[in-house]
Amino acid sequence: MPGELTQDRIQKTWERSKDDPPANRRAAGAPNFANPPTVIVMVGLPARGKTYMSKKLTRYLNWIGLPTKVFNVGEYRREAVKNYSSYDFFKPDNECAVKIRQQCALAALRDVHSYLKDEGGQIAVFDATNTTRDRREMILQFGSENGFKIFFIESVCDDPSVIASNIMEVKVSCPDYRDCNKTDAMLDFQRRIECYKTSYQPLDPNQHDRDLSFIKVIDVGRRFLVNRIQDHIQSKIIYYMMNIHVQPRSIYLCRHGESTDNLEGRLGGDSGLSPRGKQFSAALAGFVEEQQLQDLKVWSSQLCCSIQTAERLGVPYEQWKALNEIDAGMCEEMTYNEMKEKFPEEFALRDEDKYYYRYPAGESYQDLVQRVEPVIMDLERQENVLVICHQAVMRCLLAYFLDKSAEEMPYLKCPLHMVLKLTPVAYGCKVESISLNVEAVNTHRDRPEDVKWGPGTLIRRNSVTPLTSPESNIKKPRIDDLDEADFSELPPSVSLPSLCSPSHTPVSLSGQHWLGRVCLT
Amino acid sequence: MALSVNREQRKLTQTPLLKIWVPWVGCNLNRRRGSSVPQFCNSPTMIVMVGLPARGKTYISKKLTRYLNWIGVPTKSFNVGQYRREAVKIYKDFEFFNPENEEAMKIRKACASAALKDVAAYFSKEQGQAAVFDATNTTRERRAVILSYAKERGYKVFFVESICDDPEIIAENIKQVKLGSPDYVDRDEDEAMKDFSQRIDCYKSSYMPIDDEKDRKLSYIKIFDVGSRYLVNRVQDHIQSRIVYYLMNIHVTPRSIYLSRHGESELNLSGRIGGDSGLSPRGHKYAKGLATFISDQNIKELKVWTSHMKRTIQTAEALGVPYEQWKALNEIDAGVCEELTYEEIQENLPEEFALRDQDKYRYRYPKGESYEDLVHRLEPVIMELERQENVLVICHQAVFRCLLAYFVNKPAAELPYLRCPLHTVLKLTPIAYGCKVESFSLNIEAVNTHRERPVNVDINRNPEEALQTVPDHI
Repeated sequence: MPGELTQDRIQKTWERSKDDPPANRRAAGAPNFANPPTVIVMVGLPARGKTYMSKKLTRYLNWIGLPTKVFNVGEYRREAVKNYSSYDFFKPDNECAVKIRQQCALAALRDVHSYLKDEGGQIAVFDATNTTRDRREMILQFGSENGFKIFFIESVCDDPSVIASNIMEVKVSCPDYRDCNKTDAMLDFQRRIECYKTSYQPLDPNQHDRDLSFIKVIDVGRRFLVNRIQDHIQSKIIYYMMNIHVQPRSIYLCRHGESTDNLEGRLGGDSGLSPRGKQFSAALAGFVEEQQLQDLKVWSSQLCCSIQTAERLGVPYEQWKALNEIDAGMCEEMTYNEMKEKFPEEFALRDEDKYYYRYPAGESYQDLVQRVEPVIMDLERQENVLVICHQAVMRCLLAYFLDKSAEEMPYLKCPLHMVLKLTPVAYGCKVESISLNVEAVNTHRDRPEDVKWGPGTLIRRNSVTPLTSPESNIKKPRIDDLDEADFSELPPSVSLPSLCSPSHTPVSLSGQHWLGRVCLT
Repeated sequence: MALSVNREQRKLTQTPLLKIWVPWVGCNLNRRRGSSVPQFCNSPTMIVMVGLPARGKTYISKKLTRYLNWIGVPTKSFNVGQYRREAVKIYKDFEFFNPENEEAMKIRKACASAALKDVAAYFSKEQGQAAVFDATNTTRERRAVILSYAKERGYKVFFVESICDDPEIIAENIKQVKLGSPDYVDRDEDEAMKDFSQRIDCYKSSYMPIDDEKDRKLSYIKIFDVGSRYLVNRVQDHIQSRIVYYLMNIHVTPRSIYLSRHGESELNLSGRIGGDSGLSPRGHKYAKGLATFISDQNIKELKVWTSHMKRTIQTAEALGVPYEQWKALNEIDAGVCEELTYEEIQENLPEEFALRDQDKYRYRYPKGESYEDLVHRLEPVIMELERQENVLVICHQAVFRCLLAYFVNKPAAELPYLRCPLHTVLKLTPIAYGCKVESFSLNIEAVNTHRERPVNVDINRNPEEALQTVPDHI
């Protein structure tokens, strides 16, 4: 028989036997839609939410399994110019600074290249103002030379109160202004914005940019202009951008009250609450009332213990089957010991790779992420929500909000009878952990000590590995003091082969003659 | 909200059909809570089409209506042109649409009003949740009338405007759906084409597109040039967000979707449901036959999708082309009934067996799924199918039924009984407002796995009555 199939022991996916030529690239849950790699290019004046959107989008894309990374050119600039003095740096006629800024942009692009070509990245978010056509043209060329798709996200906003609020939230406390008081910082930043305004050329869907793929986000999501969606990923990005908002709100995550299955140490099942679980529900009702929230939505799964908990609150609630606990398949309702006894190999495999491990005839955490994604999308749309769910599901949701990797997700601590209050703030999420002081069993199993750590567990899986949005690992073009910069002696690390190979002198690009000289040394 | 401190912890019971936990069986949570996702429509929504004739408004209306119904939002479309054809039995010529024609204007206004009334009736008496108001609605005046009508009744309004000036596209639209309309039944093509173009001209002078400034408080999407660009303003809620996402993913490029089940499996042979068995010898034969069929079809850039189950993958393997696996395409989870025969289900769980016959769409297997759950699971697959061009989907009986019901617009009651025999390929080609279906049997014998609804679905029926329609097996 041609192509005998074998079942991967961890993921339970069927593949051709190992001695056959390598199978076509197979994503575990759904097809891989991110070929070829994409560069998402942010566009907009300062304080328009570009970094906010970059980070949020990156977190989402990583969570659904697409390795994504943000490249913030401002960070490269802060590395290059250690001491920020004032908005004068951003004046368009400050030639020295202009050169440094361009150099930083190129360094960032070089890292994008390396991330997408050599490090297994699939999407790179190029976070900078990118407000001139020249700059965007350079990026488009970069994309076409390397076979990357380019998708622009432009944020347009002229509401002074929104801008002032953004500046207060994320700019006055940024490293540039660490030695300033708030008023001075605000003033300086506003002058900084003015420096960009004169040369700002917004994307023009009617003429100049009508063949580009982009979304213009206008007035913090009140309106969107979408041009030439090329593929699945861009479509998903647009859908995500249209669902997020910046209204202050909180998301409360908790598990159902302790169930009788929990008491017996059983996996899964559909049992009701234990007496302590009922106590918790009552406490939860009190807690909710204390919070005095307007319009709190309550969501629960369709399993008994979760519904009993919701019922006790005495308010309308919605049931989501997608919030049901991970399906343990043949191991449903077993205790861990029973599973170890009946399926010792399965037990060991689960500890080896808990994220990808799929229970026989059941699910994996990776499957859970796919299942729970519509819930996340809806949570983004909502305002105050209390989600009453289960251990694995809560870990999934938490990993999304707190940007935890696939490796960390199955080991996040989500004890019974504890409420997590998540409040989006600045670029991240504030977490408050509230214990309702009702005793419960501990259902958490740490990663066992004696598990072999296979090298590159993450890299072994091809496409759908949620990575924590990686910390930026900027290669540092160091220039300690502006005046001492001597461009002919910049280290070769700054050169960008793909753009600056001898056959490719970018003489035609304005303001970059110096670059050619630099790269060829 | 006042919470009584001494609130008794009510014991929950699980509704037998939907397997939903409720405080007591008769409570009103029982109704409308059956679906696997929350109900997202509180106030009903009017989706109002805007655009000159031949801009794809009816195409979008019908497609959107089909999609919304399939995902469980009761939706109906109201085409004012049909009301007009009822009122004015015989269409003479474009002069009817001349803005100076006072008598005709009266009739047309009356038709729009009648349609609005029917929308209101649909919402209040038929539990509709969304209505698509399909007309040109090209003047601010007409749109103001609709907005105030909706406001009075608490309906949300979402406009969908289609703007296109490409003469080729418009000519193609006219050819595809206008020339064959009842209005032109006795005309020859050229005459009809000329008349319709003049009809469009009648609207052009008074056409006022939605204005980005004046109408900035409205919720709408503008579609330019068949999807090359979109302008979206003020999406109010979940359903509008879904509508926008859907509209941005559909396209009109000609293509075909091929649906097939896996080849006959070992478990199929023994009449067992579910499981994850491999192909039988005849199943392998089908896989080879499918490979030949596909290559004979000469399909441009065909994508092949399978589920995660062995039998679909084995089928795809025989094609010798790259394929993608979707867990979402896995067969319906029969929970505790997995790998049982119908006879065994009848013997061990006769009540469950009867409940399933009572409402096969909503019935959820214990610890398993219902068709309704399947539909929600498959929604991302449908969305991606809309984005794609030529695709072959190799799946399973229940999944096949769900996908087919979406494409040929079958309601929930019929969905679980659609015939999807093994070893048959269905080729679906979108055409005009619908879908052409061609069925290709590859002439390789297989068991029949189709079980019709028996006559007696009562819980107390006897086993013979229950097993009356079970197909033969080993």
